[in-house]
Amino acid sequence: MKPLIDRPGSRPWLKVVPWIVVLALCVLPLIIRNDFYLDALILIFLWGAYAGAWNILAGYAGMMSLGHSAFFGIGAYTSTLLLLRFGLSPWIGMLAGGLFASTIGLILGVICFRLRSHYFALATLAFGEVGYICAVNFRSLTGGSEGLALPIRPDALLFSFAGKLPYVYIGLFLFLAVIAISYAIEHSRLGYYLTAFRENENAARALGVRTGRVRLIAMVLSSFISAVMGTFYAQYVVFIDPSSVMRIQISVQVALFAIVGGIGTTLGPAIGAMIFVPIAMLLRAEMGTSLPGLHMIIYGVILVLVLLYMPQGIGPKLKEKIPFLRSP
Amino acid sequence: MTNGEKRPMLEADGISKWFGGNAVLNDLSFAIRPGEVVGLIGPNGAGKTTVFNVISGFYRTRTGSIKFDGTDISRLSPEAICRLGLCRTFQITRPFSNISVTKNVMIGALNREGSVRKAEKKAEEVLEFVRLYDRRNLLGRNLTIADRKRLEIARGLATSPKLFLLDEVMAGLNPAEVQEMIKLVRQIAERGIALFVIEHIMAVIMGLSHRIIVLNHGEKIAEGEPAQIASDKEVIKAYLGEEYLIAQG
Repeated sequence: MKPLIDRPGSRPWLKVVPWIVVLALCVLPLIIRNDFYLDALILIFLWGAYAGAWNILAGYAGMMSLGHSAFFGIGAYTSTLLLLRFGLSPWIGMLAGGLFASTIGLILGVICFRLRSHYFALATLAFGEVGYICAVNFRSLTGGSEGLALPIRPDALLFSFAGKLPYVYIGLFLFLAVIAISYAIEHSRLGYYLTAFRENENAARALGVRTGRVRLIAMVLSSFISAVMGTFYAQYVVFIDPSSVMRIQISVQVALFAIVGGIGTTLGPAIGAMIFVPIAMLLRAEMGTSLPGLHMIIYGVILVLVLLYMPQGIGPKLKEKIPFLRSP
Repeated sequence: MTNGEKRPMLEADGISKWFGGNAVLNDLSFAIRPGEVVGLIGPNGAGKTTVFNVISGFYRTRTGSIKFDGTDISRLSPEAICRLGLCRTFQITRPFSNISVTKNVMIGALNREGSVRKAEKKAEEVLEFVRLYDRRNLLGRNLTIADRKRLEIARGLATSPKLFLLDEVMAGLNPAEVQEMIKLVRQIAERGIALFVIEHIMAVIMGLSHRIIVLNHGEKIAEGEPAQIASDKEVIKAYLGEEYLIAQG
């Protein structure tokens, strides 16, 4: 059953719940001493934030991008190259990558101005593939398929740390920041305009919504954050190559997480990451040698089941089933 | 003519629209004065909705000019025109399906209001006015036809238009709902908002309008007060055919 009613909540004490969850997330890494679980946390935060960025464009604005790997890759390569070539701190590189990616996003948005739904998805798919091909073939710049290894010299100013804990907290910060941004968008003029654009562009325009501008803003925001997550990935994994940061599968995966978690919702992408990342990690750890790639099959099964039984995603379904969650 | 002394707020001068080799509108001129209710009638395919699409910026006129409040709007986008105070509804209603009725209206209200909170208040006022308030939490897609028409009107009103184009807001309604809708349209007019109304139900348009423009094959064949239009030979011919006139003697 789809909900008939879209009712705002009215239980003020529920406002405390999110803060308790945030606090728990802050304390959790201190309790967990196991590197494997810390790694899982980092990847959940990474993918949750990245899926959140994708969701700004695809969820709120309804522009299904299948080329978001390119923005992720641009972020990873920009900061890494600035570090390797010019010794520039990846903290600054993160910003530079974000700006570069959002510029590309803006240009792509202008070029694809007339494209809607499937056609936009196809155009972005091609765009993502172009990114991959560039990364493979501009060998003098990107090192081609051999990839680029980052120096391992623990230095906070160079975004490099010895243990996993700092990465957990940076990841947590980015994760919460993206959720906060999504929440802010959803409750602001921009969010209403994006929704109007998604639901019916002509009706939105007739009501004075500058749809052209609004969709470009979504494009810029989404590509900026994706690139920031790319830099974070590069700094954490300390090795990037086209297939780890530019591959089409990354675009598909980020879309999958957000769709299964609940597209167009504040927490959906985060929920998606919380479900998929642990599954992938466990299967890789347990069956990595005997049945490699099994996690992709499981992903597929989950996707099919979710689309069949809760097409709006797991997040909205939870909200519907558990009245407790319905407020914030 | 009513309000004859006032300067027109909308002046369309020689507008035309072609689809391929067909002229859908041909050299059409008309004016609407502040506070006026003007009906636009004509047989199916006469080009009525095209007139709305051209005025509201969804189509470009090929010739002539359209002035609204002294500004040439013939090259402006629909969103810019709406911001100037000229809003339209759609004949086939286009609710934002997956959000609440209140949020639907808020999107219109955000046009003028400084904050989301103020827009929500404005939306609730408008919903109260169009008598849709008790359905404010329903999703757009769950409304009946009559309520969808009301929602179209509510969203438009929330943008605070000076001139409001209503495209067949009575179509598909039962007689009781039509009466309700007439009441609502009258109330909107009483607020001083000029209305340009497309309508198929003759009794309705005759009762509502100060002045009526009749369109046939993209050209204006008559214009005047309702009583004048009802007895106009050209109009009767367009609607009922030449034989009818001959039979009437």
